[in-house]
Amino acid sequence: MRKAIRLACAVIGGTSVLAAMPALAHHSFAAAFDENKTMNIQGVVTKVELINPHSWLWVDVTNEDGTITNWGFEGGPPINLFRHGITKDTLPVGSEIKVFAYQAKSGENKGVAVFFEYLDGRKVFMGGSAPGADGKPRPVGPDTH
Amino acid sequence: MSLLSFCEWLAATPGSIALHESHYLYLIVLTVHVMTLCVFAGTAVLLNLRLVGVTMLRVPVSELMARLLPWTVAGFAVMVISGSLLFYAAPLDKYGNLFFRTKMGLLVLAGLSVWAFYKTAYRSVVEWDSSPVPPGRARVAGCAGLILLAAIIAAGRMIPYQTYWFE
Amino acid sequence: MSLLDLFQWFEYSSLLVEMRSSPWLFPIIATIHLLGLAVIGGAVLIVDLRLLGLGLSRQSPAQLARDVEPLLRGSLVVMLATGLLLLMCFATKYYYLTAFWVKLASLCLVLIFMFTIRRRLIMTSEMKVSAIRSRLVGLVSLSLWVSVVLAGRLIGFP
Repeated sequence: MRKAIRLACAVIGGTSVLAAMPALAHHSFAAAFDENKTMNIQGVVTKVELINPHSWLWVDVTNEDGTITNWGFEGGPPINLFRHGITKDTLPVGSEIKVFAYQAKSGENKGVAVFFEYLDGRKVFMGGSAPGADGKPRPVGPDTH
Repeated sequence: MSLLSFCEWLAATPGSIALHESHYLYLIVLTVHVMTLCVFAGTAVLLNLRLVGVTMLRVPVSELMARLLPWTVAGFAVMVISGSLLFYAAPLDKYGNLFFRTKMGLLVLAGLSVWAFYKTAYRSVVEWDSSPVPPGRARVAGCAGLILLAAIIAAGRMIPYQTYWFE
Repeated sequence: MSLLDLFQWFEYSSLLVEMRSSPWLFPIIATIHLLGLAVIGGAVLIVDLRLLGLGLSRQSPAQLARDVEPLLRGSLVVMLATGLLLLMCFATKYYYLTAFWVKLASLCLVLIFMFTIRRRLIMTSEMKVSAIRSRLVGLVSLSLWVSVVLAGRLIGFP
């Protein structure tokens, strides 16, 4: 009985110390993507990779100087995208979309998408590791992203 | 045919593409791979800890091995099958993945370590079977086993991070 | 304050901005969680297998349980601590995941079960315990743990 109490104290004490620690980076999200660098782009879909464990959308974006950059956006696994209505038929190559994403820290032309929008305004969530990508509501507050 | 061209050929097979793009199959295989770790690594940890002389000291080593190894081996077989399927789903991705290569290298090392143990210390097991603390060679084997197991698991867990850290 | 608010507080409470953006911390915590899983898997399995009449058969469940107790406790502490950190990292996301609530419920159930019914059965002399009761307890324990691990894996899918 005493051992159980000691164990319980160790667990509570240990986790209290840890609970005082700051929140950790969002898994692979912060491993590679910058939560302070959001991006809103519009472009033409060049490739749709509905693959496990992470899907990728590749989009040609026209820059201000007229050159075109190909950007890659990560999303969830195929089942998540399917549930949000994304298939090779609903998002064919050549579609024009707007993407809201967090940029890669490495400086590469990559990001993790929260959602994309068709030109008619339909919004589709990418169901991946980006905060908010599950499309669920979060209470608004000073620290909300 | 080089290893790379073999992986390219594999990646183009319909089975590979189907698995890579599957809704549930890939995720099920991944789940099996991670859950079977409890059986494979769980029993392997106990066996190695016994060799080091830390746990189950009243159980003779040969008896522990005879009763637990079947589970370790069965678990390992499932790990290899599920792992091969995961590789098959995205061969080029794994081929270029540093963590994956490290994990494979560590698996080979672990195999060699087990083989060396059987060839040396285990030969004389009758002499030290019931000792709570086995002789030096066996303890080294147990220690190596634990370190390699931990490293293999860690390397496997890090595989997804190559895309983010090194590309 | 709603539960969602609490989870949001978990997720966004931060003392050091630098730690929030650390690329290493989460992978390390997740790896430790996985290593702990291997250890607790072994510690639970060896006794539950014995209760099912498998694995080691010469030793009593009580002896085996006593032998692996330090491993069980140690790995449990590690799992709970790393698990709490992972939860804090993703709290508002987990809030909406059925798998998370299933895991939490199964975990509470299995821990209570292990420290009451299972422990009592293990400590009872073997002659007083029927094979059926023993197997039932082993089965319930394993089933609950499978539920915990499976739900945990489902949480981990992006």
